[in-house]
Amino acid sequence: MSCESLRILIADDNDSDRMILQAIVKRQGHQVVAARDGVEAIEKFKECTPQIVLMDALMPRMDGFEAAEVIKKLAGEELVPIIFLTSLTDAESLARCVDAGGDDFLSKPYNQIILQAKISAFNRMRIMHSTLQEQRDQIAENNEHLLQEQQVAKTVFDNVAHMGCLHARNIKHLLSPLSVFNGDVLLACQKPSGGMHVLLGDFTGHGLPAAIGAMPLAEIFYGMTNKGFNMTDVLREINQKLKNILPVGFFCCSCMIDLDFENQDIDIWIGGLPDAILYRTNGDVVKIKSNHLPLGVLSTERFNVDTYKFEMRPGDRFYMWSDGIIESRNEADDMFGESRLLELFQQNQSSEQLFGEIQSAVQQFIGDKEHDDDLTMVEIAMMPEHELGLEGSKVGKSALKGPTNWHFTYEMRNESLREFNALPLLMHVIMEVPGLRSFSGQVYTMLAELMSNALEHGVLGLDSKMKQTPAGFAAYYMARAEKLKEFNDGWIKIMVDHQPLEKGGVLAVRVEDSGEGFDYSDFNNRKLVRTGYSGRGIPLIGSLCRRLEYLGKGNIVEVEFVWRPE
Amino acid sequence: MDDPNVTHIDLNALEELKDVMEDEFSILLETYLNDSLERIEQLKKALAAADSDAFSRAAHSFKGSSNNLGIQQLARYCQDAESQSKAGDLSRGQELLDKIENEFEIVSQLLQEQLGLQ
Repeated sequence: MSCESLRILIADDNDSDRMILQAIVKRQGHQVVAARDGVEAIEKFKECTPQIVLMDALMPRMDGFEAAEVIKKLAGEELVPIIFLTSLTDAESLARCVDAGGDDFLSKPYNQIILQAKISAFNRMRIMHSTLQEQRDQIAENNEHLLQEQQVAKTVFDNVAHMGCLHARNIKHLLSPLSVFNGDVLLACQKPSGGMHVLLGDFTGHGLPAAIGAMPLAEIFYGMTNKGFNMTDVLREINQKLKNILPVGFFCCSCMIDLDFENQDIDIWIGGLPDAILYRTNGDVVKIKSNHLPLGVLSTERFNVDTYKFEMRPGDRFYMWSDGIIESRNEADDMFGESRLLELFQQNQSSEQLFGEIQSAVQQFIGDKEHDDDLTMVEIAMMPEHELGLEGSKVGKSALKGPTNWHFTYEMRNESLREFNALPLLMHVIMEVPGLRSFSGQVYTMLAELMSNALEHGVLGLDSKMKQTPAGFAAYYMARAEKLKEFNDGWIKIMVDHQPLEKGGVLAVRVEDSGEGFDYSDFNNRKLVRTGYSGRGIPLIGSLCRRLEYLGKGNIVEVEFVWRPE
Repeated sequence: MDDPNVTHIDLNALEELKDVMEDEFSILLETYLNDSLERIEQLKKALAAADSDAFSRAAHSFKGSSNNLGIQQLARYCQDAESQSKAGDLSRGQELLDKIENEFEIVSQLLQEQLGLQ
């Protein structure tokens, strides 16, 4: 016990007492620093930084009480035990010793055993104290380090997620600035063909493990949406990626929507999140239940992309949230709960106000209790696309340099035609032309229409007139599915050519199919009128293009799209 | 008032000190004797000035150092002097001072003998 040698300060004005104590302490293997009064004790303390102090209470010049107070102050955060040497025995005097910062007493005559026990006990306490303090400092340092790392991670995430369109006029959202570390992610992106993808995700866990999956999720979401992939493709890719990279037990509860402003409808995929709500202008509340497992759980083969589809009128609103809203707790530890949430919908007078009403109801419910930072919620309203306030803010323009003068041919046959959607691939190549991305909506529409015509009316030989009645419309799609399984030796050849102009360029597309063709003799001259379901595609293309022409036996179509940057 | 069990010097305690102090034992005894003379002077001055506070402090200090050397009877008289004067009462001051001086004479003799034995 006494094997560790300590520096011990002994302050006593009585020479014989000091000599005895000094002899005992030295004998126990410690170094002694001696002082005759309080003033000298303080000087010696500063000079020699002893680890333990033995101090007489009554001394000339400055007594032990005063000296003890000064020494405790000088020691700061370090524990320097002070043991008072006293033959004072009355409670009042002992209390003064304690008040002055004394840790213990030693009475005369000195007992060697007791003194040794006290010194080693206080030394243990002193070491424990300093270990505790080192660990505290270490923890504080680690925490600061962690916060710095989180800041860096957040900056990276913000860079990945910044090109979103959460600021669109039809979106209201609630998201803590550090939400990514609660595992909450909210992303919104315009599609090149018009419309919008919005995804709300809630990763399991907290901190960096929860944030790490958000990066690839956002990358895939924006990357694929920008390139024209549809929602189910985006979901498949995200699911596969998360399944591959996240450890077992980590996944992302999500809800993703595809909002179509033109057809005024919404596609919803929901897995693992609380019920989403579609709130109609007439007051109807439609609950949309999760019918999938979260993203990152199932393998690609078992992953299901079935969606709910709803008509959405202007002013209809769609709400989704992480479990933070419903599970937020008040002082009595009750949960906010779904029934309180639904009540807000019932009481709501003006749907314009509802988002704010929910927000303040939850805040009020939580009360002064420290806010949980994971209240994530979003409202998306249907409105005309040109009112979103997003003009000119589409997807970050890639480099200004890129290929402008080129030609390619892409031919798809049989199973590729049956199973593969070539549009995103073609769009990817075409959109490398600098500046053309601003027109990606038109180009996408044009290509999509030409390719679906070539497949359905060309390769499959379906008659577009079937689609003129609602009943025929359904029959048409049944026939399409049948023929798609059956056909053999079918092909579509797409030739795309781009040539630069002084400003902008000319994109020429020629689509040829293996079908019978049709009699287009009066088509090329006919005035293009929008009539019914079936005529929809071609007049639309006609309005976009400088030239639209059928050739051969009617199985070849050529268009020319001229574009100029604004 | 005198306790028959209380001796002038507890020789066991003194033996223990001899063991602890080793070579410095005689210096300790000399120091004690010199300090004690000083304490007695302080007691006399305080009594003459009727300063019960100073009297009490000197008695307290004297008691402590005597106890540490196992000088029991003297420590006892110092204790009496301290507790009386602490309450501001010096009425028995002279009487106790006399007792202290007499006892110190005896103790000095005994300690000188100890020093002589060294």
